[in-house]
Amino acid sequence: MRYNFPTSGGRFGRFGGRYVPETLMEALSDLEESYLRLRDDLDFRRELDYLLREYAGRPTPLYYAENLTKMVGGAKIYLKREDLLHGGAHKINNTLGQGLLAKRMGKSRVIAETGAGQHGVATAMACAVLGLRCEIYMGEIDMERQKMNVQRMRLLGAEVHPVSSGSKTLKDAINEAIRDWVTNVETTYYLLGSCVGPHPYPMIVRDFQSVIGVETRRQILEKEGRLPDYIVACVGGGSNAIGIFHPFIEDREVKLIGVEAGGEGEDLGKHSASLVRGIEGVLHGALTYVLQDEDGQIAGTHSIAAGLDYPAVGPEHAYLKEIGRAQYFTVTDEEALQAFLALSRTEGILPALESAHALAYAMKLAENIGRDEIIVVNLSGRGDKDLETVLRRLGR
Amino acid sequence: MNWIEERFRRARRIGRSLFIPYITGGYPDMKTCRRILEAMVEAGAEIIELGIPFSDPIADGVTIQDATYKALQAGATPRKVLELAKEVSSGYDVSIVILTYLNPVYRMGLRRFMEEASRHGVGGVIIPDLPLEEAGPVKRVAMEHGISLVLLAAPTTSDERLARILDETMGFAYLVSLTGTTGERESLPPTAIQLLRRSKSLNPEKPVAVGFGVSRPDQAVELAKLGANGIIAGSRIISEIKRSLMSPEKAVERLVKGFVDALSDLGQ
Repeated sequence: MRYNFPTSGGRFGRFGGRYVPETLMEALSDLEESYLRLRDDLDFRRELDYLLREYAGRPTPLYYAENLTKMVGGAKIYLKREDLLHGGAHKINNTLGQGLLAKRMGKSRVIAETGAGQHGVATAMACAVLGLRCEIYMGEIDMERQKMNVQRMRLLGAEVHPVSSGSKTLKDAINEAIRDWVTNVETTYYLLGSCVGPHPYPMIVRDFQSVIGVETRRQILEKEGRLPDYIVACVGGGSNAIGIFHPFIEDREVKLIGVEAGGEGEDLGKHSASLVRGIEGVLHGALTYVLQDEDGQIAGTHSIAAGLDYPAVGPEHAYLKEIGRAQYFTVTDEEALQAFLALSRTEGILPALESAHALAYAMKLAENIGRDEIIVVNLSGRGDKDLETVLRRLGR
Repeated sequence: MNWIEERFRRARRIGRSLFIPYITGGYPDMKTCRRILEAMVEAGAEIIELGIPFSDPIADGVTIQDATYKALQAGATPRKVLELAKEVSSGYDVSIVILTYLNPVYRMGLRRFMEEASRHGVGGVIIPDLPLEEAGPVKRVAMEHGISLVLLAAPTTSDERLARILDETMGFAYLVSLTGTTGERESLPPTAIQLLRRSKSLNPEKPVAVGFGVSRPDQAVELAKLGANGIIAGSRIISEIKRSLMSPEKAVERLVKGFVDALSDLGQ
């Protein structure tokens, strides 16, 4: 099967596209053009590879979690250790790539949105090292929940703008970043943090994150002499998942599984499972699955993992679901918490609560398939940022 | 030629430009909104832009965001706003143009939405997050139901795109006066004037209406003299309503009349 998406109009099947105010259309065309030119530019590649290796810490290990595998008593579980990257999450793969792109495009000011603060921190880091001015939009509720990341961004030289509109979380931070971009489009680069938004963002973010899957493929072939049976990753907007999935899409024998936040229940507002429980719609520039009410108003969301707390999802995931190439499931807050504790105790690794969703699903799966099968879990981030949340849940 | 376009041409023949007031449907509540719409017609508005509120209005500044939030809190829904459109358009000689974002339209179903809009006497639809490239399917269905899909152009739009937008839009083209969101501005941005001049030189025949940032009749007159067939004000109306909670319809009537009168005699 040849897989060659998006189309020139930015479509993954019927999903994706470019549903934005007219003011941004030329900017998006410029971005696409610059990106396609630089993507194959040797100097650009070399500079990005250098930064990823020497600054961010790539390649990350593919670790055989032997203790966890024994505890679960089933298939072999490997962990792709994106948690070991600079900043503690996969986000830096994208921010270095887009930061370099912004610089090459001659934009001196970078804006970004952030939910939990991980993308904000990764953007602030990339801007600091590349010498770009950085401003981050963050919902007031998220700022309260993630005080430490707000301080980190400020120490890294970024200006953090509180967003008080709507639900005061990630979705509203994106709205506000888009409003800023509409206003300052000529001087400003919008560094979007996930594979969402209008074309070409879902493609750009996927391409920069695909380094995860490219390394995984090489590493598993070295260690096992074959491809894995399953790849499991958590999905909020879906950037770590698409990053590890993409290099395997044409390998039909590798089953791709995305895990969404099941939160506290199946009612609208209690979870963030856009693919599993959402309806097709248009949010933030793309046609995709969206959590919304019967009038098309965007719904509130919930997850114990702030990074999954978003009412839509990257359009490429919508397409992979539709063609059946990837399957998507949910894991509840409580299951994610248990997986967090299990990995901490068996392997001495505190996973991000986002990644703990993937882990929880992988553990259930491992138990029910043969010992000779192989599962790779994308451990997209580390859990230090979540200690307060976890301790509160445990009543400590 | 459709009804909306005809209104612009008729106005131009007698040396007028049209003032197009905007209100978020269901703001501040359904009943008051209806009275305000009637006041707008009484004040001489021939075309009214009526918003179907959407939870995530990315093209709007704080004033309309706030009105959107209040309208939704007060229970506004797409169907209720279409009912409003029907009540006003059936009782008066006025064209109602609906402004909403794509998701509420998509949720109702494109065909269903246009059918309902048509049944409720709506003349046109403006969707700020639906640019030219994505507009094709929406325009086809709108046309089947006799509804004009109004496209927007911005200061960042190249001449080549602008020519296509002017060609493809129905009823009129909505010229966004500045790079930014909706909201009142002290002075007219130079970008508005440039965009207006470019539009008129590329396509002298197509009616254009300028919106975003217009807050005073003298600004409207200046734009009209440069060839704007319509002037749209939204945030200005909303803040007037906010200021005059006792009798907002009276305040809006005065405000709209001020614009309409200023645009009625351009000395041409």
